[in-house]
Amino acid sequence: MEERKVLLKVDRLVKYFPINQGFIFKQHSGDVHAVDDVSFDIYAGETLGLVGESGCGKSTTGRTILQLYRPTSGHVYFEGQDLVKMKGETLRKTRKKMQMIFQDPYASLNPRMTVGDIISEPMIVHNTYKGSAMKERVVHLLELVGLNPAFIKRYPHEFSGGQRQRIGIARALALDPDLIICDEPIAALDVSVQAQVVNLLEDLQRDLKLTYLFIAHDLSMVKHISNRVAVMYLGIIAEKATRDELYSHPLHPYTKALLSAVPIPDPVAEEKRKRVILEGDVPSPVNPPSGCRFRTRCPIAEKICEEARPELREVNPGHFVACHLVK
Amino acid sequence: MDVVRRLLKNPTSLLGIILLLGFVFVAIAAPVIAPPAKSSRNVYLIPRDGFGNQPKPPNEKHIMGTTEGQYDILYGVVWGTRTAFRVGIVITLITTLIGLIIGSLAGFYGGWVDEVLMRITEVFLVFPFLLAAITLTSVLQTVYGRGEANFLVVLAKGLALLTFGQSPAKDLDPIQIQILTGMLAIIVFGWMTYARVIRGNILSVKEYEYALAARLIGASDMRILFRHLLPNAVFPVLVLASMDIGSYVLTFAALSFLGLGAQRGYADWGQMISFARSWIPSLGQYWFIVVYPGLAIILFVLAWNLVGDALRDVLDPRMRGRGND
Repeated sequence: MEERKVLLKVDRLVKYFPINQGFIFKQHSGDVHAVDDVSFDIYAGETLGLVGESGCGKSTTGRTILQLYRPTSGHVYFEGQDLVKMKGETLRKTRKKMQMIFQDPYASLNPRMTVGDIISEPMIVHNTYKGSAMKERVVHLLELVGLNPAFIKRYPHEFSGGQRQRIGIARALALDPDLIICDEPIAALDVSVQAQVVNLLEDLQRDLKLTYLFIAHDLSMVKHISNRVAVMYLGIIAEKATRDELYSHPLHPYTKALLSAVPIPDPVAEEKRKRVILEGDVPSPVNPPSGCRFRTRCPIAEKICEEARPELREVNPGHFVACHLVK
Repeated sequence: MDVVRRLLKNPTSLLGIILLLGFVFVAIAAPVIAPPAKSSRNVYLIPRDGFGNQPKPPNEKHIMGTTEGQYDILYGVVWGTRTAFRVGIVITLITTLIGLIIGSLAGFYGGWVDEVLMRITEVFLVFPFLLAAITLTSVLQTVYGRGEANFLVVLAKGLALLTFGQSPAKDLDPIQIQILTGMLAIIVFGWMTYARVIRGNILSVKEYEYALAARLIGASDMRILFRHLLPNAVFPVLVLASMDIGSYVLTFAALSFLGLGAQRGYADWGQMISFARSWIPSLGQYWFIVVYPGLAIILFVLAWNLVGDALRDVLDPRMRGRGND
């Protein structure tokens, strides 16, 4: 991957959810700072892992990229075009190239539609395939995700979680997208099924030349599938690097803490390593801490962390960290 | 046909279904059970056997007796079944439809659309239902009596088409106008619950990931609403509506009892009970004026309630996917 093309460019993306109080005369009393100044690029054909704790804004980032939530500010460029400025039909046409796989396979399929209806709906809506060609394509997609095409007339409740997730993947593939945002696609699945779905995603990426934004909180799974990884904390990106760099030389204290929590399947090594245990809870995104967001739980925080917000700096080539204290 | 099978398995719902089928049978077989006189100009006008004031107890000629003015009770109860079905089903259909439209628009679009529609709904909810319906019925009857208000005539003709199957080209019969005004009044003050329930359901369903997925694949608003949201939000309303068919008949009976619904002598249960008004002190003697039509109303309401209850159990989303062996 020498000459790499940027497929998706997220530029200073901000999403605040307003909190209103009062009846009839609503007063704007604050914001949930779900995503606060997030930037990253995704190159064509790669997988960018986005990790972080629950509630840190990973899913909101994914949904804001796809304009399911309109961003408060910032830009999202897909193949050079700014999605934020698009509306109506243009957005609909462009979004065809970007699809999403959802976390909860029990909520992401309409219980009143058959598998065939679910997978063919994107083609009907965009009028890409018709009649028998569409039917063939549904069968093809089902085979592609490893489901028996005989299931075409069944309803979602007749399937297991893993099978449902495959149906969701088939739906996402129906429009031949370039980018798929995987919003914790395996978090709700059994461990045994997780591996199958991740392998399926990898196979599909190879065969269909897909680009993934892989959102997850499972560090070992992200390590397995990603080329590069971004670590999010409370709406910001704390650290961003290639996978090997991040896992072998984590620089941000938050990343270090996260990685030290991943169990090592070796009792001796597990015994010897030092765990960084974070104190307290994630602060409220309504009133995030001043300066560095992580300072309230950071084991090495100093005065400067309270005063200035650390920018994401390139410390080593391709390795970005948002921390004042990393040299 | 799993739903039907489960409905039949439950004894209470089975009772409801049997009762309902009984009423359907009576309604269909009315001309056989209580054949109208050949000369009758409207089969829904109960035939009279003389003009005597005193009600007559059940006898061979009049199996359920006669009311004051010698209206045959059996005839009224039998043909009143048709009136009950018509009134109940048409009112429910229209109120549910209004509620569905207003509730789903409010829930789906949110923002100021929601705000405006829900405030309007609340304004209607402020009025006590029966009192509002009584007032509106009497006002409407005066307005129609004057033969003014073109818009209202169109409304009534539409309603007449649905209720009596009467072609809009024909003029409205004054006998019908009385019934239509009562129905109109109940409709005007009856749709709010549906609107609220459907709005709440749409609000919850639209946060499901399949609704987001539908938006992502580029489905239009209407497609999302009709294919993804309504089918998953509508069932509680259907249950509510099936239960309400009975209560609308009850409300209409109340209007008729007060002399506002069906006119005197029309085959309508509420109207028949109103004959008892002057005989209240001696109801022990004239029990049959109240008991037969009253029993019909009670059983009719009960039947719809049982069926509605059973439908709720069967269609409950938490039950879905279970027992589908």
